[in-house]
Amino acid sequence: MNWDAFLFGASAALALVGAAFAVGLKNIFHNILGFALALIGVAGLFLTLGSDFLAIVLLLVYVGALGIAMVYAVMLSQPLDTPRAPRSLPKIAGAALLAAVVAMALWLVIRGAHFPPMEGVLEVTPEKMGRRLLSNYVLAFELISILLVIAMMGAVMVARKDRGGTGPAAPKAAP
Amino acid sequence: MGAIHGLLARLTGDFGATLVLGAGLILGFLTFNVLFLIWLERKVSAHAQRRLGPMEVGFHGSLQTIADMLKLLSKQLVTPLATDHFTFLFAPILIFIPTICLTSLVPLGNAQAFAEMPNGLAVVVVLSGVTVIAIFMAGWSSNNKYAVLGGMRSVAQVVAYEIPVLLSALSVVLIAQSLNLHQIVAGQHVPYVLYEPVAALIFFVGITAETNRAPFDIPEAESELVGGFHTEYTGMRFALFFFAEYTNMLVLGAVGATLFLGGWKGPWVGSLPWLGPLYILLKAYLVVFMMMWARWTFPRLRFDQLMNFAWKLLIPVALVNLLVTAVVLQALPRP
Repeated sequence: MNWDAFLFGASAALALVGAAFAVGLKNIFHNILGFALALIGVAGLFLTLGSDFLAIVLLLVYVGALGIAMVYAVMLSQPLDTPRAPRSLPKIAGAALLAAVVAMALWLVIRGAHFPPMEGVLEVTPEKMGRRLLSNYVLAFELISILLVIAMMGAVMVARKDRGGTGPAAPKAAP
Repeated sequence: MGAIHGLLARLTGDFGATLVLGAGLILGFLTFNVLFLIWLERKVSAHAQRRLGPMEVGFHGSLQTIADMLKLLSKQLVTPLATDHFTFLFAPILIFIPTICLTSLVPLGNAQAFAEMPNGLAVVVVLSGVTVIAIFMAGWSSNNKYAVLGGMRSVAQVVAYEIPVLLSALSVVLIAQSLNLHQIVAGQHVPYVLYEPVAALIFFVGITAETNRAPFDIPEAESELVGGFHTEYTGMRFALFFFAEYTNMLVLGAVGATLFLGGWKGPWVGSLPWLGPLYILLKAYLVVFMMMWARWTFPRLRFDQLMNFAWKLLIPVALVNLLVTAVVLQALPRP
């Protein structure tokens, strides 16, 4: 048996099935689990195609995000045993239309693009990536850092407002 | 071992044989390890409280866990009606997968491990975070408010404590100049715990929190949450969560030993290579023993104390430690 081909096919199938679950199932928690499955499939694709660092980074970034998304899903959705509200038809139609437009655009782009075969093997190591980030792409790197700092400050501000702004701080933790 | 491998290779090909044999060896060892660790935990707790612990079954109660396992195996598996059945049944299985993958990455000797990856440490960090998804699946699908709360606490805790673990591991990466676990071990002529005592301490606290061990066991705090995320599980499914917790302890202990205690290195390992796996096991069990010691010594933290501890103490200290490491390494002449 050709293991490489088998693993590639299995990863692709996993990604497709996961994506189908992520949009098709009715329970929001199941949607997130489907999304996780799709991510694992995509990471598997990267692995079988030889860019393991990309696969690792993909999982590293999304594992934490998935956990948070699950918590949000649980806070936003109703308990299991209550009946679900029926979906409205106009909403479904609108979503279908939008999806069709996006699919059409993607298809046009993919059909128009041409993919030249790669010359040699491009080896992506963390070291090379780090050097590039701090030389060629240092501006983008710094801009992303600033964006992240702003996001974090925003999160802190929003969280503090709930506690009454400048009022007495939260109970101080014992050491 | 070679003969079994050859026999399997006829059925599944060389790669498949390695896969099956490796997985079998790891699973067999992990099962034995859990039986041993549960016994050890009961003994450590007993001696910490000036008791004797299990004494009846086998020598000093050494067969007690096997008896307990048989009891759990024979128990009825109750699936509450209002659970989300598939997620409920799948969570205890899923919680194992990352741990088994992790086990295969730990270097056992000179260029020996079940699997070698050039970015091994990054894979370790990813896999140790995946467990939380299984825990939350268990908590949510139980359809029980205590279980959901336990799951949520677990997510918050792991997300918070992953950062100091990552930062303290990074300071080791800076010294070793590699993410490859084999090269990290090879670079340790002196165990890195001597260069990086602060990072080692932060890593230890972080993995204790990631395995939901006391004093950080608030996802399953009995006094507040009944059983936390595994409240609704019975019999062997409950035991699987136990299995996963103890396996995680050993594996993360082994990763800690690899990063800070010199991995498989030790006296005479050059002339007797079979000592390598023995040393890494001994060191891992030392870390696990320290985790148990901490559990029976410190009281459980409150949730806000736990969060403050991670965000306001561990992360800043780990960041400063990383910065100091980088500056010192730049100041030192390159070998």
